[in-house]
Amino acid sequence: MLHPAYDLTFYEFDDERDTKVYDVLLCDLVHGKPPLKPLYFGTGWYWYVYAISSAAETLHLPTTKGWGYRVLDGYPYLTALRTTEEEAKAREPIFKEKIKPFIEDFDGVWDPLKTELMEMYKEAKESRGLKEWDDIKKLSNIELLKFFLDYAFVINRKEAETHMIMLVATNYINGLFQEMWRDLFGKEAPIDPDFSRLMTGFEAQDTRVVREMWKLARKAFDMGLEDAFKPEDNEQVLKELEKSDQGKKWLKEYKEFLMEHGWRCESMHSYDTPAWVERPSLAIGRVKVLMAQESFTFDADRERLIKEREEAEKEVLAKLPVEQKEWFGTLMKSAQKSGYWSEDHTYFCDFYVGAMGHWIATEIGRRFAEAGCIDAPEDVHFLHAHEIRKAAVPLGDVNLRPYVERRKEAWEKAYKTNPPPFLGNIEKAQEVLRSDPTLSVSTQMPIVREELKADLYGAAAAPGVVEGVARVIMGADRLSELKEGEILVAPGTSAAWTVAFVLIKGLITDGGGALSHPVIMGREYGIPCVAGCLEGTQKIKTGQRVKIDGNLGVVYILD
Amino acid sequence: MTALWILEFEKINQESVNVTGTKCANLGELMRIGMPVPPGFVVTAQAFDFFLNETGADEEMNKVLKAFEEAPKSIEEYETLSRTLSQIITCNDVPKELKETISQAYNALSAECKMEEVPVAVRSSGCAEDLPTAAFAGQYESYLNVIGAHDLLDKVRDCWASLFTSRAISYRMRNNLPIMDKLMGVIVQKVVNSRSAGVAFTALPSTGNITWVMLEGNWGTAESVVQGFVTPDRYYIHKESLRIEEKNISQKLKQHVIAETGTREEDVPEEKQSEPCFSDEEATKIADMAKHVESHYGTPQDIEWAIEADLPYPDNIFLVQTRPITTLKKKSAVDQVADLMLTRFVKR
Repeated sequence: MLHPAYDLTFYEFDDERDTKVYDVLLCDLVHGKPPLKPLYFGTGWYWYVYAISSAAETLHLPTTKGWGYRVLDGYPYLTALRTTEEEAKAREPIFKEKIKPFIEDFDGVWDPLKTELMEMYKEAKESRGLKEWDDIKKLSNIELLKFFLDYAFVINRKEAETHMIMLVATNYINGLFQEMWRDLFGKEAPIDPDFSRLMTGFEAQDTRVVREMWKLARKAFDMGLEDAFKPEDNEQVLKELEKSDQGKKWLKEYKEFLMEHGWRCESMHSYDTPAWVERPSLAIGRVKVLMAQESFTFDADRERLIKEREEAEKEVLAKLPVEQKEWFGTLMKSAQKSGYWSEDHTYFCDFYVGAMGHWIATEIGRRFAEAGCIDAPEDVHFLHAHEIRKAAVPLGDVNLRPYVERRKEAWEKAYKTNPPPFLGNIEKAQEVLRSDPTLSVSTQMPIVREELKADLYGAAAAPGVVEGVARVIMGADRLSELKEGEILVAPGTSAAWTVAFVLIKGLITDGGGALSHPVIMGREYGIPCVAGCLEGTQKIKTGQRVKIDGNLGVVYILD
Repeated sequence: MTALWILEFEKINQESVNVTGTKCANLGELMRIGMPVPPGFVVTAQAFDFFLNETGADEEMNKVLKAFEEAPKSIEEYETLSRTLSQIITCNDVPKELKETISQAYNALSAECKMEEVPVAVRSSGCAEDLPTAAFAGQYESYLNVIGAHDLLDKVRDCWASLFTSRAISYRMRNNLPIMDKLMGVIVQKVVNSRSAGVAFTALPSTGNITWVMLEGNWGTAESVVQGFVTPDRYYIHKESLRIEEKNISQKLKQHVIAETGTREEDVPEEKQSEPCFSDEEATKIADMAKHVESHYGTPQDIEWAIEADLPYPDNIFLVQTRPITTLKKKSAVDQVADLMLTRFVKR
């Protein structure tokens, strides 16, 4: 029997066939909890799943054709689309040729693609005469429909294809590098400080944005606008700034900054959270944090980190036999570049395309609600392209409530349930995971060493040892609770959290591996970090004293 | 006429190939650019030609080949042809004038070396050998530690005959060359009483990387290294700075030593098995010489060297052969990583 999945037939679980064919499907809690809403699930998220196959087939990955993806009772389950032995043999030589450009010059592949994406986004806006957030209101119904169709079937798809081909290459290159690291040095790279040193001293786009914000923040300080930022309510801050000429001047610059860098929503992977460019008060909280920093922490350490990296590179190469130096150096460079791609790409991929999706979905929701197709504008997140196409031109003549109702009911039910962690035969899990390195994006496991007698073990770490008071924060919206010098404990971090790094002296996250945001940022900001310890937010309470040893990848709870 | 049958090394250079064969031309060239080469002379290709004509061997061999019009199909047919042709050479006496000329040259060499009968290496030097494109390596015969004119003449004739081993014949056939080949010089060179010997590559055979000189050596003569009987000591020397980057000392259990005549295999005395067979300064000096040879030829070289037991450093180092490296895979670092991607990651 086929289990309905918000009418998204490509996700329907076939309970007679799927576990037989795929052995086991694993619940993707990292991305799927809390449950995704249907519109995003069927558009943005679907394209990422599709694009894994696009990448697998384009690169001729020997062991996998992408992700098998099913949604059951609102939660996603994934598995590998494994190749047969004959298929693998045929694909191997082609894969070797396809992966070479990434090994040889990773940036040489990424840079033009990055530019292509930005040009695509700009063209989509400019060709329609759209600049400001509210300009979308000027589009006629048919123009809005066309924009949606372009977005949903062309722009979003292209972003996903680019995103995933780079992601797959990154996973393979870093995966190989970590294997060889273990081979050559007998250590697990994700928790090895020597490895960390090699991967540090690169600047991702995220950091550039935060730096611009810091400059703006200091400007506000220099312009004597400190007082305007005193109110807790950030909307109030904007009002205060409107009251003075200096304030207005600063606001103008701030808005220009947002036009360029504010195409990002609070949540990367949904359409229902506001974008910075839409609601300027959103980033004010970060400006407040940065205003107090006399220097930009990241820059202060940068020169030193680069030097340390260059030293580490020399040291590592010196340890190697002559016959291995050249290939190891090549692999290392590629791993370094692809490591920082992990952080660099969210700006150009996830955030930008997510903001555009939010932009379009919000306007559609507004018009549909106004015309009476749906009860409230937020209900648009329970529609799909099909229904949008049905109602975009006739508007109020079409009743979309039945679609909304049945999907909302399913989604609310999912919100309250805990999904089974897998479907099928769990013993096959290792086999499935091994056949596709990208699957382990969701499944990095702590590296346990009983002899260390630690309270938590991480899957990856940024080096350094620190003791301090813990602050457990479950979402980026609660960042204002963080005090300077505290040790942040979180489920995970993403670019939305970056600004916290100027305040904290240590970081512990439940999720994350060697390529994850907390680890990369931890390195670059010189903050000891233990990521992927699974239960940090459960075991640690705010106010407890903890000790992080990022050189070993462990956490001790001291109280 | 007789002057063209013998040429001393001093008179030989790159251009001499058609007279002396490639291996010998390279030896002369090495000497010309100031490398330490043991003294000697070559019995020219023209001498061989004279032998073939004067004895009627030429005519006889052509008759045999004509009868053998069809390409040999089986190993037995190669063997038979080879045996027949070789025997035509070895069964004929070297004509008197040539015999005398060769003996005279040998005596002169012995005098130069202040010995009554100098022990010599007798080496075939073909003309299509040791070219950058054709890997004729090891096709023809060499004899180490030959003593006395009588033995020398026999070995010279054996070298000529080695042009017609089944291996050599089949090689020429596979490369569309005529079976009848008269272009061979025979090198006659004072033997180095090798304390240790080996090879030097000025590019890493596995990748074509030219940053390093790779040195391999063993106690005794180079045979054990060249023919791969033992795992030699292997050093990697940074070409530009001549810094010894890496030393791999192996357990050297066997060596080939100079015997009363010829060589024989011997055990390496226990105390020397784990000892490096060359000193750091010897290694550096050989690498430096190799660097200059490569620079002169403009292409990576495979060089055979030997260290004389009876002389002090630095006069104890000799180069006895050089040729372009033919098996450079030129596998780039990117290729290697792509290979590892499959073998060590995808298939892990």
